[in-house]
Order: sequence, then C-alpha cells, then structure tokens
Amino acid sequence: MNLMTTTVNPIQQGQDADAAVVARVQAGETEAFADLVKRHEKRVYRTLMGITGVREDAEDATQSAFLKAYLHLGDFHGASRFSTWLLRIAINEGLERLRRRKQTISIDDDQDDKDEQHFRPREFRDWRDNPEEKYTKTELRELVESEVMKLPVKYRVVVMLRDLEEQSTEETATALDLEISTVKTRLLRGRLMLREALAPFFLRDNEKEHVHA
Amino acid sequence: MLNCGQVLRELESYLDDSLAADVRKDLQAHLGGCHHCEVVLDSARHTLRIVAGCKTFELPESLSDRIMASVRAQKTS
Repeated sequence: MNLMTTTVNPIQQGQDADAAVVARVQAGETEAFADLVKRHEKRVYRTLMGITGVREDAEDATQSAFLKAYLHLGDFHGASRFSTWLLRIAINEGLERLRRRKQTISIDDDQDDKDEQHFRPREFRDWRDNPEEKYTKTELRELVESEVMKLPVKYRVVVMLRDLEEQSTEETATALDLEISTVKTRLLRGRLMLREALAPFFLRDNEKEHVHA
Repeated sequence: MLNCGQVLRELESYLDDSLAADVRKDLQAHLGGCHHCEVVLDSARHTLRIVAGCKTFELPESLSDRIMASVRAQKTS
C-alpha cells in the first residue's frame, strides 16, 4: 500500500480541523508545522509505544513519522483526515522498526482471532468499590504502563488507540488497516487480559490479604 | 435469557453505554443470577476508568523541539 497517497474514508471539505494549518505548510510556511506536531505528537507517540514497546524507539519513530509527513505533505490531498494519514505513516514506521529488530509482525495476523472469540475470564474475585484510591497517581500510572506493555502487540495497539487515545472503533480500524470486527475482537480480548492482570492489585481486602504493587 | 458467553460479547456495548434496551434488560436479568459475570463487567468498567484516567506514557518534554529541529534541518539542506 502506498502510505502517502492512501485514500480511506473520503471526507467532505471543511471537516478536517487541521486542513487550514496543512494548507499553510503546503504553501511554504514551515513553522506552522509545529502546530500539527503539538496537536498530534501525543497520539503518535503513544501509538508507537504500543507498537515498539520501547521508549527510545517510540521517540525516534515519532520524530521519523513527523519528518516523513512533512516531506510528503504535498501528496496529502485531504482524501482522509490529516490525523488519520499521519497515524498510518506512524504505524508503518513502528512496524518497520519491529522488522528491523526481526520481531514477529503480528499486528496484521488474524489467523487466531476466531479462537480469541472464545477467550474466557478466569478471575472472578470482587474488586474494591473505588480501586484507584488504594494507590498514588504515580503508582497507578506505573502499574498500568507496566501491564499494558505486557499485552501482546496486536492487543496492545488496539487498547492504546481505543482506551488511552479514545479513538472510535472505526477510526482504530482505519488507522490499523483492520476490519472493524477484528478490532472489536482484539479490543475485547485486550481489555479482558488487562482486567485479569490488574485484578490482583485492586481486590477487596477480604479477597486477598497481601498484594504488592 | 443471555448466557455467559453472550454477556461477554456484549461487553463493549455495555462499557460504551450503547446497549439496546432489550439486550440491557436481558443482561441485567443474567447479572441478577450470575456473580461471575457481575464481577467481570464491574471490574472491566473499573479497568477502563483507571486506564483512561492515569495519564500513561507521557511525552518526553523535548520531543516537539527535536521534531521541529529535524524539519527545519530538512528545509535548509
């Protein structure tokens, strides 16, 4: 697939909040690109953390993705939102880095998705009524980051786009070039895996006496 | 009435509060007699709230500057 000219979800003119800034950059106003960086760097970085699983790789890949977007902005004609186009570039940058590390590329692998529809929870002990009150914000962040990063990459990316970046299922499917049904299946599995992983830290006191964060 | 597997498949709609009224009624009827599903749905909702609320994977402060430096360098090269 040609990343720079991909035409997904054509949108009507005026619906893309970035269109005016993109036009300024395309007209030669390089510094306006900083606005696009500010708007989208967090999502791009988090997505690349989801794919690479390594902070340094995610930083480098984020920088590369924005540079590629800048260099190819002349090829962007608004067939999709700028944010969607940018995220596709970022995702492919992340996958390329996985290939260079000779890791198995499993983000497009759907051969076992049918089996995953039969995934069943195993943790049925009651959680506290207000589980997050047990930890400081820093402890919570470190715990969630640690457990999210333990998810297999194909679930991790979907969970990060949907539940951290709050993209819709449709937007997530477009960004990852996956079927909506595949996104739903992986999201369910990823959320349930994360729930199972976090459960021991948030149980009621009478369910488990000693838990170490 | 829904069985446990069907309840699990409705999890996303349940979490998004987008369940159709008749499905919600069936689901609530199931939860009234199935503590396991009640725990899974309740803790899944907690999980999403915790994940969304704890500002994970914050950006390194200097990243925007590095990105724009590389863009400017490309422009002048």
